[in-house]
Amino acid sequence: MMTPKELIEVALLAGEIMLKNGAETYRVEDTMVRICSKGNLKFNESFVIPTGIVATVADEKNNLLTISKRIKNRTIDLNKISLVNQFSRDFEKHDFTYEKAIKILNDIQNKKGYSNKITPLAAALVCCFSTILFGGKMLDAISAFFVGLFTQIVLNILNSKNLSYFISYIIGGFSTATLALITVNFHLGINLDKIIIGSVMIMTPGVAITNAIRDTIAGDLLSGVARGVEASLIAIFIATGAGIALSILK
Amino acid sequence: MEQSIWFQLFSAFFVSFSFAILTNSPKKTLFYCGIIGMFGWLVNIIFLRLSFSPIIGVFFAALTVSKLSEIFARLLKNPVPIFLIPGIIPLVPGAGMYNTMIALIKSHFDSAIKTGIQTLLVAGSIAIALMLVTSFNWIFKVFQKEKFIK
Repeated sequence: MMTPKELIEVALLAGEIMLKNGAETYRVEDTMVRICSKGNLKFNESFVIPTGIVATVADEKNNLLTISKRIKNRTIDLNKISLVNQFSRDFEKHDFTYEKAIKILNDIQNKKGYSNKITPLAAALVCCFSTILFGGKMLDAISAFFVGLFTQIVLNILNSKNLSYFISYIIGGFSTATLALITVNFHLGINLDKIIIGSVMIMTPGVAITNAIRDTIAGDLLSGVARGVEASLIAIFIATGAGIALSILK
Repeated sequence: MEQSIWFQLFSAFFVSFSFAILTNSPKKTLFYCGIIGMFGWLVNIIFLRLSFSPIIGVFFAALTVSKLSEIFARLLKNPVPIFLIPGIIPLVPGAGMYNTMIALIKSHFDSAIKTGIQTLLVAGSIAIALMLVTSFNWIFKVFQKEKFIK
């Protein structure tokens, strides 16, 4: 049996991994409460918003223990959320020691995603096929393939520099529109608008939008509004970047 | 719409499949993400061919995507967003956002408002579809738990 202090540390680490990688706040709260419910606690509560975690537990003698964590930079890695979800289920069923639980969570945290060579290729495929969905011709799809490839390489470099996310989205939108203009000028693509619409898809804030909706239904209005604002800001930044490129270069 | 339906479905499959790689979904779920995206697009095409408005088509497509995500999440024991996020991507109103931006650049404010509101409605219909399915699912879950306790 873990002490309340060890238990809350495990719960906090699990919650931190989930929130950093794009989980909904109600899922983080659920996971933390589930982990803490394993111990002999009188009271356990967690409060999560997209930028921070607060958790409190009380043992039988009413000794309160509160721990808080500020989340600064967030990325998207759904694999880690799935793994922590699985971990919390296992944690409920079996008896883990403190060291073992922390080791499993640290392993999850250090897990690498798909490599930097595969992501540009995936992005290129997204751009290529969404151009077709939006009614582009075959040549448009081919040029969107290259636009997506280069934009994702740029985004990967910007993300590794830990820049503020709004700068990377403006630069992303800018480079998409610029590359699309170049391909049209070299007569590789035909419809400029179809290429840009298809290529912008890799930056769509899908995670922010779905999380905003799911958080709002779960009753986390604060997180829902925060994520909704995030999603619409990202859309505006991408449009700003693309708009700057189009109005300067066209 | 010049491409054949099969080619469009194939494209929708790969859009969702590759977007799942970008969001780092687990390897064994990638194929199912693609399938969900494909079915969502199929529903969208059917409604467009029956000459419904795009808002209705996207609404029912989002309903399909959301319900399929819940089903696959149960079957494969993974959180719902892993399937939902890539599955919804083909339906995102990218063209509407682009046209709004272009109208703003050319200072055609009346057409900017027109396309902007249309885009917002499409996005809103996706949101409402997701809300409907998710909240119904949660209601069912509550009922199931109560039965279990009794």
